[in-house]
Amino acid sequence: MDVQERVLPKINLELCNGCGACVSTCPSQAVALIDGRPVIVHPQDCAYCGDCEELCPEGAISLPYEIVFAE
Amino acid sequence: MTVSAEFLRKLPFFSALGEDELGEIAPHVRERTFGRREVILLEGQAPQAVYFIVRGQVRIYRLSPEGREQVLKRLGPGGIFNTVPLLDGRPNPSSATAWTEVTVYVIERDRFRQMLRRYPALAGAVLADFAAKLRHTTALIEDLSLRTVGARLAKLLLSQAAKETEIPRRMTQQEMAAQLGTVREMIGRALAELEREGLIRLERHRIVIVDRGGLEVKALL
Repeated sequence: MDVQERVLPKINLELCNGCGACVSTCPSQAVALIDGRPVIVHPQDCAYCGDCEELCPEGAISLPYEIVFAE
Repeated sequence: MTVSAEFLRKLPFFSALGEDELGEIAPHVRERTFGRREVILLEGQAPQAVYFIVRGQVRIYRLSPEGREQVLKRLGPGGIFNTVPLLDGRPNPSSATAWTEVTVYVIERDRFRQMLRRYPALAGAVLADFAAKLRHTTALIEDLSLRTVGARLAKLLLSQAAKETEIPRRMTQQEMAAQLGTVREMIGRALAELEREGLIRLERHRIVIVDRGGLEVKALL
């Protein structure tokens, strides 16, 4: 899967308070704060582990899963 | 902003009312919009109004003393909420939050009580809604008290994949936890367990049910 197709966590900047918890918790350092807001700067390193979603105090990050039957 | 009788007719609750009745009710109905994640009402507050969802999704939930959220129901267009405290006069038993951007029609408490006395068709629609909510709550109680987290998760995954609910098929682990009365960490463990059992396959942003029959058996435990 190339970078353009890679599914990434969704960050709602309207809910984000810029605390940086996602940056410090990301085990692969895929996210960084730019102008006080989180940006996934290394999408190829994002493991979609969900730690950022769990730790965000504002619920600004979500990692949705599509639930399907195998074809 | 008040609404017109024409818009009111589009809501299921008002579909059995005649033109004259809708014309009498419409001036007392206000339209309100809530932004994503905006709180509509809080558990414990004195009830002020009844809400009819026109657009968007609303999450009805309660919070434990430790702050853990238990989602009671998710409602979409056509849904109604906050009828119970309006009828028994006691505080709101749950909170409601706009999960997406939401538009609702609002009828103030005392006016709504008058309408129920005056329009039997409206009272009948509310009773039918109560019956549906009671069935849903009974099923939820059964789930929480009789099923393991793994069984409840199996049931949820099956219903989402089969589109048996109006809720979108995409869910975060946090949403699954809130709906199933547990915490996100337990969902992660339960998903890993289901994968070890060969019932699902976890992909980057996708949960694939590979053994539907096996998962159905799991859901009954």
